[in-house]
Amino acid sequence: MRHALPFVTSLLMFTACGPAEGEMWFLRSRGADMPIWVRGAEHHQTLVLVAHGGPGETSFNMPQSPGFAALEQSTAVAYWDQRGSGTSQGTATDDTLTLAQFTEDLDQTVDLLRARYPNHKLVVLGYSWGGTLSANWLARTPDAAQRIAGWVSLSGATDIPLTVKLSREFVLARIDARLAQGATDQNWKAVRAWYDAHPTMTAEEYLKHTGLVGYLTSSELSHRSGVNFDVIFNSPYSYFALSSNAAHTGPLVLGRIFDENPTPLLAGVTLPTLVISGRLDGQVPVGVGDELYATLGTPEGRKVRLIGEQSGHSMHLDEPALFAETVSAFLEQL
Amino acid sequence: MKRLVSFALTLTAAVASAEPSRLGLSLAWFGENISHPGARVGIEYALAEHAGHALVVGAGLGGWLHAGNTTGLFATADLGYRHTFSRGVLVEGFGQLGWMQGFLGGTAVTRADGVGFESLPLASNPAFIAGGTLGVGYDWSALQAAPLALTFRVSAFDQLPVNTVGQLHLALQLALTWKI
Repeated sequence: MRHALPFVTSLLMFTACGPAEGEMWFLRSRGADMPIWVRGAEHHQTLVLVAHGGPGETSFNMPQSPGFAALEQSTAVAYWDQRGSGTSQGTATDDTLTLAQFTEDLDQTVDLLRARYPNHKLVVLGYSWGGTLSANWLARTPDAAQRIAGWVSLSGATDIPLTVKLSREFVLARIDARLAQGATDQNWKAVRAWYDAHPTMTAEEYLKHTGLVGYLTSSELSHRSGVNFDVIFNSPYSYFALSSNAAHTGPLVLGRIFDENPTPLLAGVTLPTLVISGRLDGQVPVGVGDELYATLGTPEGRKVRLIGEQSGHSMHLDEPALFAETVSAFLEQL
Repeated sequence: MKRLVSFALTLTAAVASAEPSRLGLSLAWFGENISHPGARVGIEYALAEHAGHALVVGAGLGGWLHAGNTTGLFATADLGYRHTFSRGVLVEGFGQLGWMQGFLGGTAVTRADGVGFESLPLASNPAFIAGGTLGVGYDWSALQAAPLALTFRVSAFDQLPVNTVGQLHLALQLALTWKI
């Protein structure tokens, strides 16, 4: 028995999991219980609402990323997990996993934050698929742009057909470069042949394609993905919730939104906007951000274009200081 | 449901006619995801025992706290096998079926009147749970030293539904069982 005591003590010490830092809200809507984790509201007067990527991924692993950790020094951040995604709970059924419902959820989340934090300037940040979602909300919701102070597109897939087209070109350029350099690996020729046989991709094929994007660019990026034990063991994040939600919601929703392009409708939006891209981003290449920046109705001087030369799809990981400094400076101008 | 009622009746009858040492009460530290603290109380009865082999039925009530995510409360019915070696070391495996209620780990609200928001006190979601547990421990009663056993358990169970899918949970347990 005495041998067991140190073991028991160690277990109890390890499980001294304190309350989550910040405030936690759950928005219940059409079967979904969507968590919103607000950090730093008591210290700052701007509040950045993060619409995560995916579809189906999470924002709850972002506070520990170096870019958002630095950004939280100058602004409050609300990390929102969408229906059927990340750590979101409830009983959201497949028929509610539509762009229209995600957009309605974002609309409610904005209203909730405006009601609970009336003295904060609210800014929406859409990351990857969150860029599609927030663009669609701004384009198709009357008065949406009047309810927030600014918008940040972080590698936002604001035009999905263009995203797929440019991502394909990005990959083919790298494969051809390898073959031109005399790559003898027959696999690369087989991959090139596959693309030749598939001049257009279905949503399912695109998902496989994005795996190749990650492989091709991993050696060019400074950051390496790794396990963050603090996120897994000491935060509201749940790895198993994320994996099951994302595996189901991602392919399902991607198939439903594969032709979405709200960008042309943004010509009438004059909201202060920061458009961020990574030069090494093969998932949402720079050209998508260029199109968004050019189309926005926001006058020059109130919109900002940032391209991270060393960044891939996640500038908050690849060039965190540049990300935090640029977003902070943008917020100060609002 | 019939099976559950039948199981409960069987368990009740077994407890009522229990011989000493076949019936056990347990208290366990329950660490969902290892780091989310909780506890579990259980009752168990050895339906059949022979030469250290035992077929065991049981039931448990417990819960855990995942700050900012969920407070999970659960009730399970358990059936398993345990082998206790002559020197007191035991190994066991159990299957579990049960019910859990997951209370949201924050302030829950919903849209009211199409404009404002109203609070939802104690908002939660129900779910079935099904899983299994593997354990290793030491039974002091095997050497007539004390009617106690200490067991370290690794559990995996699925919570269904979470949205339209199942959500896996892993947990560690350290249980102290008092053999009545």
